[in-house]
Amino acid sequence: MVMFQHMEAPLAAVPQMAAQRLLALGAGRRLTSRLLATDDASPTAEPVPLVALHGISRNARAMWQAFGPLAAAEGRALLVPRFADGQWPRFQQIGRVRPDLALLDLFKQAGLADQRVDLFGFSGGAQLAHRFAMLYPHRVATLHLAAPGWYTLPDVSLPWPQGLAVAPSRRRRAFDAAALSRLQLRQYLSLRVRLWVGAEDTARDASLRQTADLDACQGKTRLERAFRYARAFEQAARVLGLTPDIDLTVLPGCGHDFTECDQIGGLAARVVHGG
Amino acid sequence: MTAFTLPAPTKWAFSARRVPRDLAAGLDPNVSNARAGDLILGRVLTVGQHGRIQLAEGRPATLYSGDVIVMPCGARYAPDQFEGLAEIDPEGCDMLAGGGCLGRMVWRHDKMKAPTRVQPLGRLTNAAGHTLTTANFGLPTPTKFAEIPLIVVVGTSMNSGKTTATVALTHGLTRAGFAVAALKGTGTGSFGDVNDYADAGAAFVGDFTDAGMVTTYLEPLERVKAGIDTLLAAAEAQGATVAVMEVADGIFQKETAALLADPGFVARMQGSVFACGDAVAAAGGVSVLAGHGLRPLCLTGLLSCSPMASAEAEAMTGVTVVTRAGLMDPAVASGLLARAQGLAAAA
Repeated sequence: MVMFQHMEAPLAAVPQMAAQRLLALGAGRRLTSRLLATDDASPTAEPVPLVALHGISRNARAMWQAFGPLAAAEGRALLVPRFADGQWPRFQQIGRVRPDLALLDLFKQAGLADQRVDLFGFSGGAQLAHRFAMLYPHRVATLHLAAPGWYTLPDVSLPWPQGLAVAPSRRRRAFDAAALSRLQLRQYLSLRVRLWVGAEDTARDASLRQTADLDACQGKTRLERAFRYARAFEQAARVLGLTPDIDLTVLPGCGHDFTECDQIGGLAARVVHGG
Repeated sequence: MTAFTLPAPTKWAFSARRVPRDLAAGLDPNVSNARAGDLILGRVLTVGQHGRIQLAEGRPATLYSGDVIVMPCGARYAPDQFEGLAEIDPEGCDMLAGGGCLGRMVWRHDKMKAPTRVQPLGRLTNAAGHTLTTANFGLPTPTKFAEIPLIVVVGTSMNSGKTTATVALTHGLTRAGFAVAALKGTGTGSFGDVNDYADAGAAFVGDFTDAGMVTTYLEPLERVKAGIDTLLAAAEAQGATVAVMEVADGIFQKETAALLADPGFVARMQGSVFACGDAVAAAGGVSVLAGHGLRPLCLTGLLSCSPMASAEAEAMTGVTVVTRAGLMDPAVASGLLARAQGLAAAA
């Protein structure tokens, strides 16, 4: 069952012609989302839809408010799902729990069943975004990763989930995201990827995953990890004979806060305008 | 030839659905030289194995003695049911398939009843006296070859799980965002398979009947291949981005074996999926396919229902077993397609 509900408080800056709805999945775990639909009567070519994924603070509202007016001005469809705490305690990872399936179903319900989208994620949302893109690179136009705490590296020598080697303890017949991501690696490394991180996103707080292995491999802070990921992505692409299209932007004066990255670093506008 | 009006009601078979009924303007009583595809008007004499006919409207209808039916003449190859030839005896012929196929039964499976018998009344003709035949009502011959990737589903035999695999992979790829053409390249015209394909979400559905054939049994290889090209071109023209195609019966069946031995057909596909029932069948199938230069992307079918049989098959063949649920998973389906495209590019 798909339910469409009018939002109680429409975004003031969004023209009235834009539909604003909540989508909900009827089976299994529910995933709600704000949707900014495009004007179907538009005579121009439809711009690429944007999907924005929140971090572990689950502040989808901040993303809606940042991206909504910009997307509306450009006539872009915008989806901002919210992974509710009780339903999706670890939405950042794709494994036993499958947020990827919920996103695909959401795309379908939003009328984006066979379209590529610009996929943006902040923090935990960026973790999910790049793992989704590794499984479904054909669904992504540009991948925007803002300040994820850590990455699944495109490295087949590192054990899952830090890399794409098969975990030795994998349960037979279990969903094998590492193997499936390996199959799609060439397509993933062919994507246009834009990395974003605050220049002051260097805190090693409780929200940052910290292990000796991870620190040694990816770095000790989100800032350092972004640089290392960009390098790893470039190297992996070149090994496959690809020309990597990845770019890292450090946002001056910004820490690990989406609103700060937007208000000081202009993150939402930069993403909407292509990175 | 006798001018006539089509009796009402006439039960018009699925396999003849592409022929417009209002073209039927005459009846040629000479049926003994009917060929595969010619539409035969007949009256049911006795109801046997097939108690129902699949109608062109997409629903099954119960048959009764005395019913007037229209079915094409055709040959049938179905090890679980009948083998039959595209021959019409003026004294009475056999209903070889529920989707609509009249001919002469040669063999039947021990578990089958005698076929439903039909008294042929004549071949339908148009106003000009030309026999109405399915070959004239297929999709247009393509002007260029389609380029969409093609994954072919083959198996050990009837009921090994090919249709289930085709449907599941179609659903998985559709859910992943691909516009999937679900096709049946060979076999006997039946709406069961194509309805299942459509239900799985396929963006385009077609079978060899859309290319003008009733069945592909005893059709020349070039015609079967041309039919497949026609389906792929129509699918691509309608926006399909990938095709999943079931090839009927087992890999030793005449037309299937000929297709797999054809270098052009093998080169056209990006990958194959093999459906079978147990590990021995898996080992044999993988070996036979290797002889054609093929290594399946995965094994599936009834085999995949058993974790132990799957483990045996994987150990013996080195090919991964994927369950129906796995094929329906968009990540798994996307991965199989990516692997197929990667292997094809490397080749």
